[in-house]
Amino acid sequence: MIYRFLTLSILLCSMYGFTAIAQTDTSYDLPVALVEVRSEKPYHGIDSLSTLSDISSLSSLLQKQPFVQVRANSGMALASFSIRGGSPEQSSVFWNGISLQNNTNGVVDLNLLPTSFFDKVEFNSLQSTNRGSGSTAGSMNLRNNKIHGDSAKEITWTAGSFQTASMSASLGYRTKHLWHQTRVLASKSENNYPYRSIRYAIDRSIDTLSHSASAMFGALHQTTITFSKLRPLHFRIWLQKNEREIPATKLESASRKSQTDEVARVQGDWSFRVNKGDLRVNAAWFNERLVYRDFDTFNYSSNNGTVLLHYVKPLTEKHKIGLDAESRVFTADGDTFYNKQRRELSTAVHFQYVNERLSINSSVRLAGYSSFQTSPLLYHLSASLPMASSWQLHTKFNSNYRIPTFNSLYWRPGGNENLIPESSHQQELRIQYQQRKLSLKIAAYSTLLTNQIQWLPSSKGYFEAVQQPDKRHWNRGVELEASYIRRKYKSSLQAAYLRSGEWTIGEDVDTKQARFTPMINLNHSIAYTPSRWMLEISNQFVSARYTDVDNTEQLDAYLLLNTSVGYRFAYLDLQILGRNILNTSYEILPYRPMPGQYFELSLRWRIQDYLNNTKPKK
Amino acid sequence: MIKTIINILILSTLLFVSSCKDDAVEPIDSSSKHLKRVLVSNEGNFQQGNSSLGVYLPDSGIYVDQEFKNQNKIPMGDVLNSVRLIDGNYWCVVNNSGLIHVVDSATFKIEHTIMGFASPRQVCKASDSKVYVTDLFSGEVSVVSTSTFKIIGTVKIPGWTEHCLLAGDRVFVTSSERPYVYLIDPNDDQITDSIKIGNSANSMLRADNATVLILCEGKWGTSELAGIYNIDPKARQLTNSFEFADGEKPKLMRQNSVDKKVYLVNTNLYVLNAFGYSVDKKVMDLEASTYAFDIDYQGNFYIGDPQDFVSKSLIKVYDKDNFTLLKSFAAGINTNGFVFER
Repeated sequence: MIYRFLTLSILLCSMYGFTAIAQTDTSYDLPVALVEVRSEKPYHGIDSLSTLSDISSLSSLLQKQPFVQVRANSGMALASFSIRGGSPEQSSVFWNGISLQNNTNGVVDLNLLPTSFFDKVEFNSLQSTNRGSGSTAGSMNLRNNKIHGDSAKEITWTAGSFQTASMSASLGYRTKHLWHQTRVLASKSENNYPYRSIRYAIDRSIDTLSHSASAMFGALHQTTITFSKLRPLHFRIWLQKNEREIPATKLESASRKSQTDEVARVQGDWSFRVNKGDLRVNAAWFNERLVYRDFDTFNYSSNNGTVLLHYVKPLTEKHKIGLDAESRVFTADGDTFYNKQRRELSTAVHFQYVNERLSINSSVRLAGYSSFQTSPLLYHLSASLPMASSWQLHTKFNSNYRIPTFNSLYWRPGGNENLIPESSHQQELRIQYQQRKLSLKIAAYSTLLTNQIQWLPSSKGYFEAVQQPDKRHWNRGVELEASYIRRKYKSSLQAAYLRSGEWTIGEDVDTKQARFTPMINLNHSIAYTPSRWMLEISNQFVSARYTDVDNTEQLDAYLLLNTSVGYRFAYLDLQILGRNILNTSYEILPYRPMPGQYFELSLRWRIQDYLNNTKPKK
Repeated sequence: MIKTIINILILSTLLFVSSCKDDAVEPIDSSSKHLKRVLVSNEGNFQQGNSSLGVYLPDSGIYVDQEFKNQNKIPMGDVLNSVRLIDGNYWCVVNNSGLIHVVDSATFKIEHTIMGFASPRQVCKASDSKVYVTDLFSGEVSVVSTSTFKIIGTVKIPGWTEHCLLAGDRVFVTSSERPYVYLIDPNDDQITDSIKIGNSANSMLRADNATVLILCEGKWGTSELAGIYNIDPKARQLTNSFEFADGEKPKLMRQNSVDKKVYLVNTNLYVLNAFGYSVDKKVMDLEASTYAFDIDYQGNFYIGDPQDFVSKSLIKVYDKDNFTLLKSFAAGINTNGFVFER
């Protein structure tokens, strides 16, 4: 049934694409953009997501990034992510500045985020005082560019191993005052890849992953309304449905688990000129529904409503002040904890000083919650200083907190209504070097987490949410990013060294590494782009990860080799991708086998170029 | 000369025969009080696949970690819930893997792996040809053949079934969600009786080969009183019951085969007059939380401290007479039970 639905969807989308190309297209210059003082330039990011591969989910794209760790289960089951050693609940994801973190479990599933829906991924680009609850370890922001009248029109088809197929389209069109862009994605996969069974060491048994099919259909529509005397109003609607089977682990005899995820998200922003300053309004409403089936069926739903008011005013030529007022409401209804609601009201003050050599940002934020006595007070202080030519120094200090999720508070059994928010303090120092051919970035950071909330087994026979006020968790590391371009070659290296561990107050700092956290994560790639060809080969190394707190059991280190070959025709792009071409057997989480060799053929029709009769340069 | 050679041959043969070691497995001597080995069941963490079966050798004080994995080259699975000795084999119930490994009691080599359970918890011998398996989620007790090692039937019991025990001609099965113990006739796998007891039964034993004692914690998340319920398995009737004081949540009730007393953990270790219906006295302060407790054939006490539930458990062995610490050793993660071999 689901595949019939998908086939119909793909057909409809294709038809939609053909009707859309009849629209005429003209570009408009956008009015002056709002100057924000509460964002900062991201240290790491993926600039363009107009990729031909990995269009269905951010999980496979981010697995190549050493600065985040994707914690993927087998197939298309849950793929959470960790940034700088934090747990998935401590690593938040934002969409155009609004948190996507699920308020029931605090986790974002990367397999539910289609890569083709976003233009840019940024890591730690939001100041702590702008993030609100959730990102005690770090954050990732998914951005959509403001659309123009000439938004590209294109359709991409892919077909890959394990009966994987997808189609995505991006279609732009406009009327006099309305600019539209719609992105759609339909994908499916059986994910029936071979893997080494638990008996491989004895008799070389190979199994095939079963009960692992997945299907997705989603659409992201963006509209910009232009006015003659006012700045444009932007809003976006994101609708999506995922169906997936959850495969058994290597230790389970079989699985009958499956889940359906449905999301409806609306977000809009508008800015005005008020009293020589800029007032920006950012509002959103997210609804998520989950149906989980195993021995029984469980229903969960959650809502997240947000209104942010942000006012920026220049005080002098070099000084700016910003004021925030934010209101959020969270509701969740689950079969295991009944109906719950929480309201948040927070306010922040920002100061910025910028001259030719120095840039300083500082801010404080005070948040209040309907369900907590405590009101977290956050600070942020950062400074950028150009050094010798091509060198720049940047440093920042900030704090953050994480409100307990509804599951931690109310899950039955095991929820703990006495929990208080976690908190963290972060310091970072980074140096950047930028020349025409060579760029180099080095960062050292430290994050100290207190009052951590963890789900631990209890003597009652079930897991309980437990506060750990007598423990400290310390994540610290060094990140390196370098790239060198020479003629048609580009070589880049990204490396992360991370130590993550906890200790009891009053005792020596424990040198043991946190579970599932690699100390070393490396990615190296070489690209060669002669004429219309594109050749790329990359390899990723992830060191061994301990699976127990005593650091006696570990998952093996692994090395993955990926390659892609592409050719740009007049109006078509063709790409052949090979992922894990050495067929390395590896696991990111214990007993959850990951796919071996995977090949994918992608074809993109650049409708915009076809209409404009624009041919690629040789 | 020939006579000498014959004598030498006879002597050599006698010497050879007398020095030959019988490779057959030594039978378990049920009357012996010498403790040969202690199997340590380590539950591990849910969804981490780090459960294990270890072996503690009391004579040498050595703990052999991961003995199941050492012998079979595969991990035990996800959440080793219980281990029982049935007909010379250990039945290792691996809850979240939905299976049972039946291993040889001497070598720990897998004899059979039984699959097809939803969330198995405990096993008990129901008859010469059947073993019953309780289940957290399936709403039924599975019937497993001891000849084919396959599921041959089910007994419908709503909700979470936990403990099971053959007493008389009935199998007693407790429910963790309902205040009843269900009695099943193993001849036709039909429920013949249900006897009302307390909520959340957490221990069941047959004291002195007669009365069945069931310790109920009281409904989770409520202030319902915990209690002990005595059932006569022949009459299939509740003969008496005893309620604990408000706020007390006892667990892990065991009978000492030496002094025949019944002990339980109620934050600390208490001896119980299960037939006089009173908690006689505290016999030992327990410094930490207790996740596993049992008493060996010599009457010594084994206490499993899970520490922070993610580190290796610390096992402490206390003397039967003066409750002093005899020895301690680190076992696997979340030790939840012991099986004593003699």
